[in-house]
Amino acid sequence: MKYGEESNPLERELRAALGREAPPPGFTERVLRAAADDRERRLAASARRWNWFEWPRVPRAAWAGALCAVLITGVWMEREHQRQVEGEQAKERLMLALRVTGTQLNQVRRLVRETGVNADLAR
Amino acid sequence: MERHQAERDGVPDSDFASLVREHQTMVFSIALHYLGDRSVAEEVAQEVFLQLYRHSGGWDSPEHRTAWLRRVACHRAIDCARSRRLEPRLGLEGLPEPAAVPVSTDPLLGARLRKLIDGLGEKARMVMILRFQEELEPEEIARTLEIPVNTVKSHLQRSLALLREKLGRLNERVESAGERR
Repeated sequence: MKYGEESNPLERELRAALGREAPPPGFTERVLRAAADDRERRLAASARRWNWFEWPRVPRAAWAGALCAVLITGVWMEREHQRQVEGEQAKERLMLALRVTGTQLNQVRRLVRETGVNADLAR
Repeated sequence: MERHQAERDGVPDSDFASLVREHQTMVFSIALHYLGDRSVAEEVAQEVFLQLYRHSGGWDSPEHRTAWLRRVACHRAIDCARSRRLEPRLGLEGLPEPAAVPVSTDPLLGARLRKLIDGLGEKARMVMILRFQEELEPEEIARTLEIPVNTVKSHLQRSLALLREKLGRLNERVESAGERR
């Protein structure tokens, strides 16, 4: 009782009205059966977790389809990567060729300039 | 059996049966007084014990475990009332006056009081149940329902005042009816 200590008639009536009541007969057995069912369900669920391919909700055809999709995507991505690498190599070759051409042009220009200066001096 | 026990990580089976027997009256009564329906209360009590069955333990003492069960029972009952819309639509003031004299020896008084308590709001009703069924102190009720102690005290005071007023009005009506006769 404690809180407020004194108990008036209304509080006594409330205690009587809200007294504990026993559950219906067989309640304990029903709870124990429900707990056993729950345990079985959990065991079955944990067994299913380790046996994905036999999971009845996902048919084998779906797993095969998913596998094919993964393979096709993988092959496509590999090809794309290959094409990208080849493109990079072609670009590198072109840049090298341009550098070589530029160097040769500079040499020719220098030769022409030197030849022109020599001709002026001879005159 | 050992494999089963390891799979579910809960209370051992042997302990579970004795725990159900020990606490079923408390859990069932909380649900019954809150919901006012024996079959729904039985379902709620069963769910509470299943939650106990799956629980991995971690209680310091039997008292701690009892408090845990009480808390789960309260919250389950409140959730159940919300989901099934069993909550009373009327406030305490809106309830019809009972038809007979409330004297302490009246066997109907208990039923009438339960009906009046059904008219309280969800928290106030649970506070009354925990106070007068479980004999908990306001601090324990506050911990169980996760609300401030002052809220518990004000719920108790307001609910008691409303019940007193309601029963007082009823007494006056019946007395005046007797004088007229």
